[in-house]
Amino acid sequence: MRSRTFAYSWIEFLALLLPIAALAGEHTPDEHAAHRAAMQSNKFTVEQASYAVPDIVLVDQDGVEVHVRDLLSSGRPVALNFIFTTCTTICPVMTATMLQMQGQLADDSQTPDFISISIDPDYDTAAVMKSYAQNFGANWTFLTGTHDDVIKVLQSFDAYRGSKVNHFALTLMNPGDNASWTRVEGLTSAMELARIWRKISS
Amino acid sequence: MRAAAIVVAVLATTATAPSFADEAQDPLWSAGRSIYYNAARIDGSPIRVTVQQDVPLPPGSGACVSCHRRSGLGVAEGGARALNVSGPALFQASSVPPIRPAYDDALLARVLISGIDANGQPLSDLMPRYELTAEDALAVSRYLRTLGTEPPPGLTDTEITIASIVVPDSPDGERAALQAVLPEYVKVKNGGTRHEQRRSEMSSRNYYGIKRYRAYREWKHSFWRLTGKPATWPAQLQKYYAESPPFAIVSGSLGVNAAIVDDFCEQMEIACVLPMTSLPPAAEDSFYSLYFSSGVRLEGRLIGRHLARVMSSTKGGVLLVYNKDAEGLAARQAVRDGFASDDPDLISDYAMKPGKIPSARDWARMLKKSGATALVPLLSAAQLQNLTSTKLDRLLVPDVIVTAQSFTNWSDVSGAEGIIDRVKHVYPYNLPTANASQFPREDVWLRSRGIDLPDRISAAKVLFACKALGMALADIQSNFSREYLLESLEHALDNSFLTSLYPRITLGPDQRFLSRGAFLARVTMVEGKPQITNGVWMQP
Repeated sequence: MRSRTFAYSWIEFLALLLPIAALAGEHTPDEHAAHRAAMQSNKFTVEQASYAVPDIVLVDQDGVEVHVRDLLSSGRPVALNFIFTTCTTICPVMTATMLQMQGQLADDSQTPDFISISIDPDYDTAAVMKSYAQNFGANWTFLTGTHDDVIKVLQSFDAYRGSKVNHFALTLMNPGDNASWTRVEGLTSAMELARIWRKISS
Repeated sequence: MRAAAIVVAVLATTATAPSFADEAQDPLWSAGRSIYYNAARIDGSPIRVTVQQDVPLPPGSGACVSCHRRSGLGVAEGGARALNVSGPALFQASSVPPIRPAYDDALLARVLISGIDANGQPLSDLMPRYELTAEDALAVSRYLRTLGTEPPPGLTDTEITIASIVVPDSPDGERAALQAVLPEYVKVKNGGTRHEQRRSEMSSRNYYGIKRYRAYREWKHSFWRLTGKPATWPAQLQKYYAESPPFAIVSGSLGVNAAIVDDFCEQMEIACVLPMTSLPPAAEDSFYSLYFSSGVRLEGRLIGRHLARVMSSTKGGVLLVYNKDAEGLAARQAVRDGFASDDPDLISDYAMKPGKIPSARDWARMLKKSGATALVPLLSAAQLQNLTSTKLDRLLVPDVIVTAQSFTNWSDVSGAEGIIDRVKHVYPYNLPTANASQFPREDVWLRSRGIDLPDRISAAKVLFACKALGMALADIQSNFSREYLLESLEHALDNSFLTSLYPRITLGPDQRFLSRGAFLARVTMVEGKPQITNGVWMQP
């Protein structure tokens, strides 16, 4: 008696599950399809955007106060990315790529100010940022600050995604002189970044 | 033969370091491990690493462990996914996507050097390409074959063994919290697990079985009560471990010698999830132990920073009075570090015999001698009783008084109304509110179990530690790796709302303190008792 009941419910369950599995996809083997696609794709997107830079004071890796509005909307050419120092995946790559890009643009007449902003201001104090920058041999400005201030800046650039684990590769470039921002989402080679810069700054 | 070696290691009653005692003798394995962790050979020579086609990474960066992690199980973060490269995964054909044949030594060498995977397809540009010699590649292969193959102790098909450590100098409040909360949490959890286990049995019979239910285990919990002098604790810990090795250590109260337990957990490679201590190891470089905060060092640094701000516009100096014990000494150093002045003589400090209660005359003498305009008494409420006394000339008491929660519980200070308007207090938890619970998330559970302890903070900490472990075990499902447990917590706890203890908790890869700031709060009299109110959040 017990085995018959069990066999009945097993088949019923199976019959129910097949179409559900196809529709829901939650427990099918392909639950990581999006991640895999991201992993195999080397694509990145480039679009234009406008951002209102807030009137906020952050600090650089030497503890010196920096008025974000002066730095980022005064008409100077800027290349900006967002990192945190204990990131294991994309941030070391982004910093190294920015460094390589800086090197490739060294002889250009139009080069941007390079800036990196921490998305983990609680851990990334000025001293920690300095050590991170030195490890890469990066000589540009690394910014951090109080949690609330940094979040405001991140939000103004549509770079805030809540928990660190949801962060993403984002590079913003502005040739200056009231131009709009060029938003590069995704990882690129240094050459590709340099090429985008040259295109927008010419 | 390796299986036999593992069995022998587990059975040995004087087991010390568990992992791969045999392998560590194998130079090829050690060489592979060196590359996995440091992107460098044993002799220190770095391996050249290139990523994103044309981007070199600095020496030491781009080591496998960064993305594939200590467990080898990989990570999904930053829009990127690092795959599972543990031995069982890598050297077998994969029938779940990405579908591929098994790697062998030759295919592994090819993918590390040129990025072409076992299917003959190039991996994403984010996977680095490594300039490896044939010997290097073989070494990495040798290491990866063993990664993730050691079955963790403390697990059977139905039970998971958990332990909590208590030391002789554990504060009473922490002890009481552990006694009241832990067994109750385990009871409630196992009560629920009984039903999950039935689901687990059903799902195991089902082709579409759900992995999560198969992971349910009953918690088998015990307290490891250490006795005597700290020098004897390592041997006691080893004895407890040999008798019944746990899968993880949760909560517990470690007193001021937390470093001893931290070392033990690093050596035995066992996760230690949120023990209570005011003095965790100074460097944040352990892998296996996760702490609430850096305790007295955090509070000391914040006091120092606050003083630096205040004293820049005030003449005179600071008098720091502290107990000459581990906490007092650590806090004193942290205050000086946070103050970071060119003129260290601005702070004069006075070491007190621990527990001694300075009389009004003692205070008068200390204050007159130092001529200080700011006072930092890192002392207990009882020790402050004569500072508030009318026998002490109020004019001698500085206008600036800064205290810390690790030392002073203001609600226990008598006669405080005379001086509290001068006090700023470093308070690392969510501020108490007048008509609402201070820790609502924890209070709901505690009240429902009838637990009402005077030390609400410790009760909340024990409960949160249990919840964090429970959540991590649910996250790792059947991947019972002690390293993966911690790696999962690194992500799951960041920005989490699982606890009301702190306004914000953050965590990340290799970070081991959940809270990195505190309130600089005022103390006011509420219904005749000093209460912490109004605070501004400070970060070091």
